[in-house]
Amino acid sequence: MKHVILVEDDPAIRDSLSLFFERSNIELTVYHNGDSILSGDYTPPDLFLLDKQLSGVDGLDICRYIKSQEATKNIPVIMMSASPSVIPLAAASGADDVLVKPYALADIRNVMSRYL
Amino acid sequence: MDIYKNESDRLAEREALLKATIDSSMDMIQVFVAVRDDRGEIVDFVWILNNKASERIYGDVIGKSLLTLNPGVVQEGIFDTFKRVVESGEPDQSIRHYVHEQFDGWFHQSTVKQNDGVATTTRDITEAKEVMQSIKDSQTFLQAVIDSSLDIIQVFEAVRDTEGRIVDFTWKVQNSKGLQQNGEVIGERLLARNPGVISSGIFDRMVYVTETGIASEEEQYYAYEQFNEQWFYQALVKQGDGVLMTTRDITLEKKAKLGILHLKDEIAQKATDKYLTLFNNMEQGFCIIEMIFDDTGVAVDYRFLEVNPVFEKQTDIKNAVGRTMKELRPAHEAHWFRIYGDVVKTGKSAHFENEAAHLAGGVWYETFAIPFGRPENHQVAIFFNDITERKRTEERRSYLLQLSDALRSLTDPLDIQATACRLLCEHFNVERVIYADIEGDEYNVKCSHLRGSGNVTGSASIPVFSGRLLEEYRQNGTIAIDDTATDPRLDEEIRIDYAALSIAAVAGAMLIKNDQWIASCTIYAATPRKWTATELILLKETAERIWEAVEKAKIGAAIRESENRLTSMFQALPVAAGFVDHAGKLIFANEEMSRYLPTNVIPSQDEQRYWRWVAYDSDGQEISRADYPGARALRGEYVVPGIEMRYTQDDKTYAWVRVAAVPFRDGDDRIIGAVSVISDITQLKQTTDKLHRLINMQEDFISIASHELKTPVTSIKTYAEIVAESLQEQGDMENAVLVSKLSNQVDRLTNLIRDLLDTTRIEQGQLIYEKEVFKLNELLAERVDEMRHTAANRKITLQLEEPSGIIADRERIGQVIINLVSNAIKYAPNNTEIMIRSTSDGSEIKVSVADQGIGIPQDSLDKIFERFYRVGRGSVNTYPGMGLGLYISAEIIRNHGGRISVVSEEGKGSVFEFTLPLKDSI
Repeated sequence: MKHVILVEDDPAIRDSLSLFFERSNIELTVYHNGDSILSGDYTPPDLFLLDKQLSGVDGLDICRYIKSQEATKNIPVIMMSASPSVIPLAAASGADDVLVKPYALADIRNVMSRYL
Repeated sequence: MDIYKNESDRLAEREALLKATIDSSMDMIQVFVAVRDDRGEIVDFVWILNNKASERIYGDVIGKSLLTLNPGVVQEGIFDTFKRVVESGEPDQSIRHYVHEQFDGWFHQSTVKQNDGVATTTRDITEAKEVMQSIKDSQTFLQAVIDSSLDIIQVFEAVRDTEGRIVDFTWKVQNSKGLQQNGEVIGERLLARNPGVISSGIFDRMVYVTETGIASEEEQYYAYEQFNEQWFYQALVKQGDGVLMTTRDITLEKKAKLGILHLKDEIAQKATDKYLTLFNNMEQGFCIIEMIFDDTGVAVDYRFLEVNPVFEKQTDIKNAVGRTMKELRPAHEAHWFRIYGDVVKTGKSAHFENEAAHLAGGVWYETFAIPFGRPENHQVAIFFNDITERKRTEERRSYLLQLSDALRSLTDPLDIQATACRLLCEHFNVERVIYADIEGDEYNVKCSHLRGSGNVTGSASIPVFSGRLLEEYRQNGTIAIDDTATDPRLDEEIRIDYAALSIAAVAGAMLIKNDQWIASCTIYAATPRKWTATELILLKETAERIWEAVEKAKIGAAIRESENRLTSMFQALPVAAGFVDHAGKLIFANEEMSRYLPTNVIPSQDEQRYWRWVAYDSDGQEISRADYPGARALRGEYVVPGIEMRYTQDDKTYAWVRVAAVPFRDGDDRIIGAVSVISDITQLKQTTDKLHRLINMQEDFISIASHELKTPVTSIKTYAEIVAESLQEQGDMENAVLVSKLSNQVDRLTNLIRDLLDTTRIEQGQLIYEKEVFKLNELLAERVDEMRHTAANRKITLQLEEPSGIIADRERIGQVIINLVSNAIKYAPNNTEIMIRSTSDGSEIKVSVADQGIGIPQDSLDKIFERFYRVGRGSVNTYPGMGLGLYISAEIIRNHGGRISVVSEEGKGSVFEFTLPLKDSI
């Protein structure tokens, strides 16, 4: 069973995506912010799904941290953002793909099938 | 005692006698006693006696040292002689040449021993000695002269009658040359041997020299007796009662000289011939005159001695030779006599130009006057050229120059005409000048100048040309009436009018412009006058200049008026404007500028004003004064629209201004200053600041809205999709469809949010494009595939040519494609085709989206790319949307350097088309 870590501060998004991953038979670990990732207090997943705009440390910073760590640099990171202008920033931070909100389920499935 | 007394008296008596004796001698008698040293050697002598003659020479020297007073005695051997006489007792007699102390002469001196000393008698024999010496000298000299001379030397002694008159001479002496010539003649009478001396004048001269003692020298021709046409140089000097005659034969020399003289005459003759040829053919006038002075030495007249043919031509004087100038031309100017008189007096040539008003009808000559012949003859040779033409040209030129100068500075047309008329009057020396404008047939006198009474403007009661005169005037452009009394062209009426005004001669010139007679310039003389063609041309030229000056003045007035307008405008400008000179000083400024000139002094001198100005660059650093707009403009930079500066006002409050400056160049493109414009933007700045705050708020709003609106939408959509899927799985298709519709509406809401935000960004210039290289056709295919599920029954066809990539914002171009395709789907009925084509011409790619929908009304075509524009269609079918999609699409395409357009026909369909430059062509 694949394992995805989601970092998202909006409860509704967290909840709806939890529902989706549950139905997709993918294990999901949810964090409200990036503290656990940056402290290394987590089990490395098969894929990171990071919201860009978080309270506290920004999603892009978390992405850069993951990609800078030997242990995690090869784990795909997907950024999520409401603004398409994040796409180039995400690429610059080492993210593998971007999901622009609002996304369709089809979009998520595409990404998952590509990176998992 | 008596005996003693007697003996004593006797001795004194003898001594007195002796003294008287020696005193009576003319010779100097002196007695010396020797002075001896310790060894008995005589080292000096001391006077112990002097007679009167000696006293006269030496004074009182008794007891004094000889060597001290007369040291010369040692050198002349006298001292030694004295010593020898004392020591040997042998007397001495010597002739001495003594030139020491007070003596300069020859002396005979006898010296005898007297006790232990000497007595000497000295006689001055200088005179005798000199006579002897001179006799000896002259004898020797004469002998030498006489012997060596090649001249004949003869001495004659006069023979006088009883009354003392010289009647003849006898030969006293002759030298060997004389002997050769005369034979033995000593003691013979001159007249007996050479009677020719009478008729040749020699005898008279000999008498004259003998009687007066005045020597004589002559070259003497003598052809008597044994002499054959011989020339002698003869010098006579009185010698005793007669003459010494020195004679040299100079016949050969004389003949040679005469030959030369003769030759000279021949050459002179030839030269004279040449001179005459020259004289008669030269192009200059030439004459030789003899000046005539009055008793006080003032040159008053001259007489012509010679004239050449050109003289007559240039002076118009016939048969001048032998007559005086005053006879020929009584009014001839005094300056001519004065100048020629000076040539005679000073002996110096003169070169000058002057006028002769009474010769040849008034002429100017360039004249060379040269003193000629002997000064006492008072003759002057004169060469002259008629330079009248040149002089007149110069005068004309000078007149025109004067005219131009005078008119240049004038601005009032009336002043111009008046000034010109006055100058014309002076130059032509006429009584009256009239300048008139011709308007139609109206002769409109603008200016009338009457000599001596100034200008009369705008009035004239002067006859106007008419009839035949007018016709002629029109034909020639000028007219000349030399004598109003006799000119046959004048009718009687006008003749009477002229006579009444004392007008005897008239000349006029008309001014023609564009084939129109527009002005006339006429001059009037009080005496008949022969007008020359040149004068008429000059008159015409004057008219021309007046007109030009008037026109220029009119233009000048127009320029001034326009300048005034500009100046008032400049002054009234709501911005401060001024001119800064190259030193950075404000030298010209308008009203508004005074706000920035605390002292209000122009040119600005207020060093203080600098602290009032501050400007900052984009980093907040204070800009140095060298980079202020004025300074930059002076370096040639166009500082437009300028920079913001802060100005501290008198009340210490700030004014924010925008200062712009541009260089100001002269005709040679040199920067001579700068134009500076200052506009108060304090108000604007406050507004802008508010606006900036608003914009910042809006930016925040966009960012917040993006996130905060989209986040719930995202979860709603996810939930809806999951619910739809779940219902489908459960087989509840009815509800599944309902939930799908919910999902679609969420998409619409998303799009609306996006469009609103995009529009806001576009408005604020904040839409950011992230350009990359990609293949447009791939994007087209992707986006169209995504939309197929919304197209239902419409057929979407892609016809894509494969060009190279483009550089663009992939997302934004995708947005345009979605926009156009979704519009096509929206407005096209079911079962129609939507055709998407891409073509490329190598420089750009063209994408068209064609539908067979309802089309767009023609009056809306040009508006559909506007913001919030929606095609009004009455109430029939309404289509949802805010009218932002095409506006945003157009913005995106334009930003990429492409074009977007639409062709449409109502009821038939629309074709939207956009272009994008290909990567290779960028």
